Amino acid sequence: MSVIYLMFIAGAAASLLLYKFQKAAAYIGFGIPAAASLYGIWFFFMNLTGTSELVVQFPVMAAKFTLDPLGAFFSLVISLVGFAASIYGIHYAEEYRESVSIGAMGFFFNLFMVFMLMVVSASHVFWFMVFWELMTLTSFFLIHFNDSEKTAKATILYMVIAHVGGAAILAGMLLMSSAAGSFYFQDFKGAGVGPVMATVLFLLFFFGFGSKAGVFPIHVWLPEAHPAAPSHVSALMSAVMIKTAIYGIIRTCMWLPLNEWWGIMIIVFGALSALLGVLYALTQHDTKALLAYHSVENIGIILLGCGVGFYGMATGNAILAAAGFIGGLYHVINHATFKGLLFLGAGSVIFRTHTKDMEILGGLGRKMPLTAFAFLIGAMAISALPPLNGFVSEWFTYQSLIQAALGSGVAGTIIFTMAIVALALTGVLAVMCFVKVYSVIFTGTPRDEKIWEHAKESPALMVAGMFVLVAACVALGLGAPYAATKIIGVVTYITGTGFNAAAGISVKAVSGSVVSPVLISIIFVSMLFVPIIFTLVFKDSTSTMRKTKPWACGAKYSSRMQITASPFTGFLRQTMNWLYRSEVHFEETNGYFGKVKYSSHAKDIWWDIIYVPIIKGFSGLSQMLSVIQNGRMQIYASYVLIMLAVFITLAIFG
Amino acid sequence: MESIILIITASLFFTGIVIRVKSMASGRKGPGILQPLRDIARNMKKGGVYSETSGIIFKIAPSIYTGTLITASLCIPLGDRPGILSFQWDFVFFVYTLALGKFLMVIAALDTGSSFEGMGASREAFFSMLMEPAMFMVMGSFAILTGKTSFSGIFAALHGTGISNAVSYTMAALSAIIIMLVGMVENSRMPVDDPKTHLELTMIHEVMILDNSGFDLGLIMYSSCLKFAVFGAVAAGLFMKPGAGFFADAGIFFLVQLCYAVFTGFMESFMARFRMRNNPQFIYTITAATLLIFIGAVHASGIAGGKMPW
Repeated sequence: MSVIYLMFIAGAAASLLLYKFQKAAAYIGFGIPAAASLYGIWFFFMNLTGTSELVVQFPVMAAKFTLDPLGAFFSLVISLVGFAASIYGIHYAEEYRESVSIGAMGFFFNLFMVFMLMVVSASHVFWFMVFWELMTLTSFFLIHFNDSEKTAKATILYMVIAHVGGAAILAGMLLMSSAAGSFYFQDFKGAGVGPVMATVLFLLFFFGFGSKAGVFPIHVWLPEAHPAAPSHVSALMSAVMIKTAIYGIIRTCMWLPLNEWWGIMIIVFGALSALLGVLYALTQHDTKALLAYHSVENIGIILLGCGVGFYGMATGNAILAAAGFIGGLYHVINHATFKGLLFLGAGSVIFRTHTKDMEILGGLGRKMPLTAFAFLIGAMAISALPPLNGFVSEWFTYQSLIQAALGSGVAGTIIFTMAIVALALTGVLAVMCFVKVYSVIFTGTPRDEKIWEHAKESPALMVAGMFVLVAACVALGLGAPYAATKIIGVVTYITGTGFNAAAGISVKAVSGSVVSPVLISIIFVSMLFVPIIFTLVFKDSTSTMRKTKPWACGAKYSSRMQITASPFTGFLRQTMNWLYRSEVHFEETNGYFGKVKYSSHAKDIWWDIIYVPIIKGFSGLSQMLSVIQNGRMQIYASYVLIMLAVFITLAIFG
Repeated sequence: MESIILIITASLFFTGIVIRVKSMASGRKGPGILQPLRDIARNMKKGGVYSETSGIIFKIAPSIYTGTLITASLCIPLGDRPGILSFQWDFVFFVYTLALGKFLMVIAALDTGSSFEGMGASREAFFSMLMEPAMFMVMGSFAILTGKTSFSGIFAALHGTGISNAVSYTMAALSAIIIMLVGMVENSRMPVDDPKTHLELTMIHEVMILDNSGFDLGLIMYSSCLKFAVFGAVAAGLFMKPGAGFFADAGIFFLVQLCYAVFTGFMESFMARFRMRNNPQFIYTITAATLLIFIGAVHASGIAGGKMPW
């Protein structure tokens, strides 16, 4: 463990030393974390069971790291995406060669990686909070490498929300440690917290970590901040950093005596995040903002699984707890792989086209076939299409929700069934959204010839970074029976002994059916590919092929005829307009040959409903405070005098 | 194993019967029942015409689409005889497998770069998306009612195992109608879409596959028949009693498929297509009707009485 941390720190130091040599800084600054992450993947995978400790002696206080199965699982996820992002970063950093110091970028990148790893292994309140804040800070600097006015706004929003959340976590941690009489995490479990106190703590932790995870309605910073960062950093932030918040929720709930209503609350927020996240994603034109909204959606799906897990633990239902957490944790690693992949793919497109606006792209599949393939796999995985990994975890989540609906009274049944419907709707909306993204960027004809002419396949290491995650998506999908057994180990650690996780789930073939779990995936894959082979053989041997322009009702075809991203979701935006409150600008034509201008912009209404009043309230409050602090020297001098008078009075008569 | 053979058999005649019913309803003699098959065969022998803009996805999508339908139909049991792919929660797999086919077909449509196909793809994606919760509500309700979680488990436990016949058959009938309607929306038939319309601007499915030709078009046409048969098979399964012989089950199977085809035929003869903007309301209505099944399931399963089904 110490080796991995030291490698990252060495990487940070090396890239700082090389800040004058851009090319060397890129290779060293991202090569070292690639090596460290690769070693980390192996190391954390091996340590998925059992607990190891590391104590670093500092002059004042020793930093204690405890790597338990839960921490090891999240470390594995971080290393996996970190490896792909690092090797991708070696070439992607070229994009920044003229504008910023790659050495500085590598420095913060390495530190960001190591702080994320330390957050999930820190086992002392002080160190946890320090690393938590350092993680936020380093990601803040990384966002700033894209320098623009929009970036500044995004980072400030990010910092504010991160700190409000951080304050809640700190308050919760301190209350917890005062109840337990210790600052070490291992003393927190069974600390004898009363039911009221436990609820307060849960709410603090859920709000604090939820703000980092981007749970609705604290999600507004994600679509601002994630697109602003360089793509390989967005991949890390969106795929991994927000998972540390899920880690936090699971970790802190393990300390508390659970109440079943917490599980229900997590499920309700999860369902809302999932549905609203994907609905807002559908209206985005900016690829990366769209992906950020999908992170909100997927955090929601993860919370659905974990919520059922907590509900099961609170009600003492072993099967439910196991099924829920397996769904949740499986989706943690799945979302990390496919969201990382999609961000890297989007970055690859930006690298060659220098635009984030998908409306002017198109037909890139012919110029960048490998990126297109990788993106397609990511899109299929995030849409939960079998046989890829997204399907597996959603399948587990459905399973846990239906099992929960089966055994929990009328109110419970209704809530869980609504959650199932929400998940089903989320699934199809995601399909629709990714059909849109993929087709608008990669298929059809170019909407802007100039951009298309200059586009070509990304450099080798960027492609390699994407294909690492493609392999992970496929492996986690087809190798689900094996991966699930590994995750069951982690789940057993969360739920504690006495919960037989393996009893709850497994791909059990119904007796009489001819297949085993492994065969199911094989049959499925062959069912998909046999027809293709059949078609290719049959079609080419019997038929002649002719190429022509697409059908345009007899008119001359022009590439401007094809549908763009906004009209593709037009129907949906019409039906859901109460949610978007689109701002539409329409200029009338002046004369027959005049130009018509039309623009519509979908908004996140929660910004207006929740944040604007809060911001207004705070500025109103500070207005009131300005009565006291109005900048006049005389007033301040009189404050001093009054204070002095008070103290003298107290000293004489007190 | 038996079910897949029956589904394929039913798919061969399904569209033919629909067309026959339609022609009889309008007082014509109409083509033979096998005419759609002849059309498919004729198309398969033809050469293909491809859009210059389209790539590999456009070529393989129809094949994968058919592949997903066949895979999905492997999940469906015949009464208590499980399908080839039968495992717990296989109905989730069933729905997502169908979604995979749709995903690729929509991308393929957009791959052509044609404006019409884009419109069609957008509509098809939107309407079948609205349809998805209905399927989950129906199957989820039956999972709650029976405590079983696979197609074959649900079908085997629905009738004659603790739930009164009146309840189980009422729910089965209501669900069968809903599943048939889901199948019709999924297949873009009346009243959501009119396969016979001749104006690109008002079409849904037909305009999405406008650029497909030859072998691919044949595959897509056959997939449409197969999709009908698959949804018909799910509806038929709801009426099968466990322990009945193969021939009894097969009889119910073909009877339900026949009813479905006749129902579709009559619907298309006597109804006009809805205006496009009214389609969502129609689909919401279907989804709302599934709430009835859900409420029925909650009551009949005894959850409302405080009894835990495990």
